[in-house]
Amino acid sequence: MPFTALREEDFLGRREELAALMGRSLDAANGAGRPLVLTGAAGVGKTELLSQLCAQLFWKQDRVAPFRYTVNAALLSAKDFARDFLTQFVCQRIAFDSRDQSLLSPAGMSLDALAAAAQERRASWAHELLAHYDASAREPLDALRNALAAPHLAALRSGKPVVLLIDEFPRLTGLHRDGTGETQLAPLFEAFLVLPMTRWIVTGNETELLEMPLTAGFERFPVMPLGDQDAAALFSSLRRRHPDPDVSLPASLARHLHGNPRYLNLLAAAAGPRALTEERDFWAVYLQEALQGGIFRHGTALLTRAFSDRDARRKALLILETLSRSDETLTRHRIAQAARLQDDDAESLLQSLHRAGFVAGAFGLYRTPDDAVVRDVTESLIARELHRRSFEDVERTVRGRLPAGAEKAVSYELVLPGMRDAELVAAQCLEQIGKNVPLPPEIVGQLQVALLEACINAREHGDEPAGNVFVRFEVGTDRIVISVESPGREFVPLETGEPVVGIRESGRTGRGWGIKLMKNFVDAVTFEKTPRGTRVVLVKNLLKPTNAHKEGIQSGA
Amino acid sequence: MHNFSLTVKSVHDVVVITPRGYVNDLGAETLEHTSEEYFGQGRKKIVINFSDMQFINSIGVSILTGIVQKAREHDGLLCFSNVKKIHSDVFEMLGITRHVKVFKEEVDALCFLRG
Repeated sequence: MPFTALREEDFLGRREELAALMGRSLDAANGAGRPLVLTGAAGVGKTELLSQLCAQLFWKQDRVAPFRYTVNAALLSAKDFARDFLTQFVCQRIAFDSRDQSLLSPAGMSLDALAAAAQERRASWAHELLAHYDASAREPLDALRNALAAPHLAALRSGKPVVLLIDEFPRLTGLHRDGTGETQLAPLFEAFLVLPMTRWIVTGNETELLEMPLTAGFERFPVMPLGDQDAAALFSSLRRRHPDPDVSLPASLARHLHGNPRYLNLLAAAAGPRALTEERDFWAVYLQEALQGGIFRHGTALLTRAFSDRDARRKALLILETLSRSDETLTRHRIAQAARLQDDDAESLLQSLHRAGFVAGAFGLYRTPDDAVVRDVTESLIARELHRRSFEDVERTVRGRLPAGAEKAVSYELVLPGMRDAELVAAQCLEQIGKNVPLPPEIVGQLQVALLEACINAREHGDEPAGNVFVRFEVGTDRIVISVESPGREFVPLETGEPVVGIRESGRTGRGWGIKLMKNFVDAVTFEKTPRGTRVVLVKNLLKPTNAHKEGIQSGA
Repeated sequence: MHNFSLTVKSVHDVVVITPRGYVNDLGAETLEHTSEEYFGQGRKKIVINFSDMQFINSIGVSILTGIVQKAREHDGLLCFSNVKKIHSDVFEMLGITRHVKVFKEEVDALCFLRG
């Protein structure tokens, strides 16, 4: 089993996360730790991070044994899952002791062959586990329990804790006793997640992960998008064999791609040997890729997976069209009315769209996602499937929405000390920028509210109490982009906007409200990882009406 | 706290509090203590005039909700006045205006409270 899909030199901008996860993994040697769930947008690199972590644990230390497992959708009966889980665990565990890679791909290996391999390597604990499993194999639930207990028992027998790195964890909601699909077995895992000498680190589809009751007590570890610099470095690294390795990915496109390694990989592959010399060359490749190339096909596949039925798919596209045209947060009822659907029908479709990443929102309020690429792919899907428009036609529409003015933006930079009220300096600065441009006072006011919150968060969640906060304003003809960067990486991008209890010493609530205010007063809020720490990017479209988003107003009314 | 101050005046039986500058956690706590003091003295009617408030942050707003709560506990009448559009949007967004009467001008709030 190869640990990594990427070469080490292409695994950029994740050094900090990897070090943090290594630390958490090695903590397993000191006893049990709370299970960890890696969260983040689809394609942001959670799986790759897990793979890189596994490789590091396998090759670069000897205190804990890694076990990398991907839940297979085709092996969800208790019996199949138990056998696969146990076989892979025993193989990887033996492989770790001898650093023997040949055992990392146990496909098709019988239990007898595995027992022989264990005996050959004098792994008596493995022999014991296999015998124990064999005795219970007839009863699926016993087999499942024995397989799940194997890492803990191996740790006890060998004295070496086990770190379980599980990908596609939400698939476990489909685990069943015997193929009928009637018995949900995921709760059985609960007892095994907190056993001493084991540490579970899981990932998968973010929405589905957070919907699982099982992960409610897990510690969250957000994997954030790459910053502009890391995104550009990754793109260059992926294209290093091509004739233009030194041409940088334009910052406007890096931002449009949301620092998402999947998009960067697809874009680099799509560009192929083509020379990319000017910014428009990059955008041309992007448009091709997002509207009918690999990125588009990936979006189509996601939609197909969510809606295999043609009628449901058409209704889902009608919902997406409603959200896309309104450009604001809508209630389920309004969406249902506009798309001429029953409320219940709309709700079920919206939930599937939410899981697939095509819509964002919470508490019955929905909007288009912050990810501009998903919005472009969606536009193409709507235009082609609902309206039978040509690629050229779709391209013209999407091209018109691209941040063409971003490269001509005027920028201002400001360094704030980590002192109380320093955010006021940024807010006053913004007021002056608003006069210079000029910007309508209402927009300046909305941006000031969002900026104050971003600066306070940067200061409060920074690693160093007195660390500086870096603020950058980019003012274009069509939008203003404000980035707030700090040394910390503890900023948690909550979707709900509900207050977070207990963050302040006094126990007051309110900080979650800060994120809600940011999201309501600007058009997009993104959270990125940078070499310096964490960056929050606020984007305000200057060509739209100045109303705040309706989400908060509706929920508060 | 150079960026925050407040003034208090009495108009008959109504206490008018006017915060100035930046209402952050400390500013809002000062506002909270001041209003609590008056409620504690048995004064039941308070107007907070926001005409001179330049900025408020989310913690400031969360503390304002505490003041609204205190007013209820003391059977008091709390009104807001002279709220700028942006602050009105913030209050509305975070649900605070559901629990308090908001008037365009201080004089309107005084008229209401004096019956």
